[in-house]
Amino acid sequence: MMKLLLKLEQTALQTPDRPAYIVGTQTVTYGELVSLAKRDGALLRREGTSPVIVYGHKEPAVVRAIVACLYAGRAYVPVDVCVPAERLQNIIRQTGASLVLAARPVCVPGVTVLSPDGLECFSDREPQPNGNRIAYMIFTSGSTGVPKGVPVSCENLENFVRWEQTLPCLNGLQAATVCNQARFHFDLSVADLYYALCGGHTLAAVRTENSLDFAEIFRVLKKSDVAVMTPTFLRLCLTERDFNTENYPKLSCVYVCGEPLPKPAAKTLLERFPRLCLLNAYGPTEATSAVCAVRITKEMLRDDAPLPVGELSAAATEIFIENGEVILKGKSVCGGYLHADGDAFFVRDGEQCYRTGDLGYTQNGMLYVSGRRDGQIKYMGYRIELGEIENAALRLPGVRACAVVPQTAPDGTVRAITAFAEADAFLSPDAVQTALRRTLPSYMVPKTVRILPSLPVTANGKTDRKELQKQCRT
Amino acid sequence: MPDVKTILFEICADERVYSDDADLFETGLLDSFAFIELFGRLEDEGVLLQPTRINRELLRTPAGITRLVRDAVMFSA
Repeated sequence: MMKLLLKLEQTALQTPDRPAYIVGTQTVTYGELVSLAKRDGALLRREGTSPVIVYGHKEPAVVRAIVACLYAGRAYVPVDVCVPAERLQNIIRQTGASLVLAARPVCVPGVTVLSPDGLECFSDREPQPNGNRIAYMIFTSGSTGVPKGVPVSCENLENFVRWEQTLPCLNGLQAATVCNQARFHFDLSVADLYYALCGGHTLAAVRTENSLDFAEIFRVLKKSDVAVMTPTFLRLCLTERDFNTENYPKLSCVYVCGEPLPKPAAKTLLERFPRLCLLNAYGPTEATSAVCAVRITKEMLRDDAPLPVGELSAAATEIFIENGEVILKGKSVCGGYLHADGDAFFVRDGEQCYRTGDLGYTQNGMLYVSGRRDGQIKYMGYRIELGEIENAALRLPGVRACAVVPQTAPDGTVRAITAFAEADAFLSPDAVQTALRRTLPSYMVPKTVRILPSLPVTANGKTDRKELQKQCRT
Repeated sequence: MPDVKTILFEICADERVYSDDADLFETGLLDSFAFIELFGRLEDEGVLLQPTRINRELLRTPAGITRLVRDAVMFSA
């Protein structure tokens, strides 16, 4: 059994009534979570051995299903309700999943869809032997136009959990409340879910489906000791002028990851919470959520120098720079993509390595990330390959060429994505967006689509993206 | 004062935002991603809306958001 399940059971045994997960008015205690997930896990072993799709948003049934899959030794694949049906089907095809454990009704032809309570129907089957060592698979944007599965092993996950518990400000807390903002299909959630459940803390989720409920966000933050969020979400929190240490005295640590942390946001946060520990973490999905972090100090905010993203000596993996690119090596690095080749993964000195595609450098024992080698962007914490959007548009009848360009704020944060489609005049921007919504999650659908008779080209015959950037501003 | 409807159009990419009374919640135009973008864009324009102090119902329509922004600009002036 995984060590993290033993920790979960220990909490359930010692303090069964302690809340493990809270969302809205619903609470699941450690006692309930362990007994239900154990039962579900035993039934899942009878259903099969393939990965299990866990579908929903922040319902308690989602967390229960995740833990049940760990008990069953079956990989779980979290899929949020914001993922359109066509993409869900693609994920099911790629994973070979035979079962969707759904917290919400969803229609998926060809597979069994059940709520965790419905697993009872497998009680008369024999448990199946299972040598699976994959804990979960998260699907990220793929440049070829198809979402890319990243299988994270139990060993990867345990290494991450071990490392995260050593982080400053997180390592000494007892029975804390941890605020979860990220959806469970976004691997930032791995940082809060496992920190909370393996440390005997309470995970308090903010529902981010549909329009945001600000009252709920700040209600959850008010009772939280630790908050895990994207820098974009932090900026939203800071628009609340009363978000300060007087009104939120419990909040002692904010852990941000997923995209660059803008200095003004960090500065404002530390001015309002002078004693707060702001952890800036870094890491790709391919190396289990995060591999390094650093506490941001007031000294780091004084000049115009960029913010570090992690301390090299305290990282979960070895980190080095090769030809300007950040390379990760060690136990947090996953074995490779699902059904995808690629030279991003390699073995050196007997250890798994991953070329992140991030440009970076090290200085005074810290890692700094300065950009990307390719067309990948971070938008509200989500990783997006612009090529995936372009390829999705190219599949639409009438679209001959497509270029997607991000618009960035002065601090480098991506604020919007615009698609330029070379297409017949009869094709409207609306029609392109409607079609893209059927295949892409909402955060990937360009907010603006412009139809052009032809895309501008450079002297070398390539799409002139700089010209398109200029056109975004007109 | 920033042009709220232009910002909404850039975020939602839907001409319905030019209608004062369009229900942005009911139509799904202002989902959680769009919400975060709206607050970020307004912050870029120097307008800070206090999430917990605003009447949530005013966020439902372009006219309501325009009113919130106008009040915020007047308050900060």
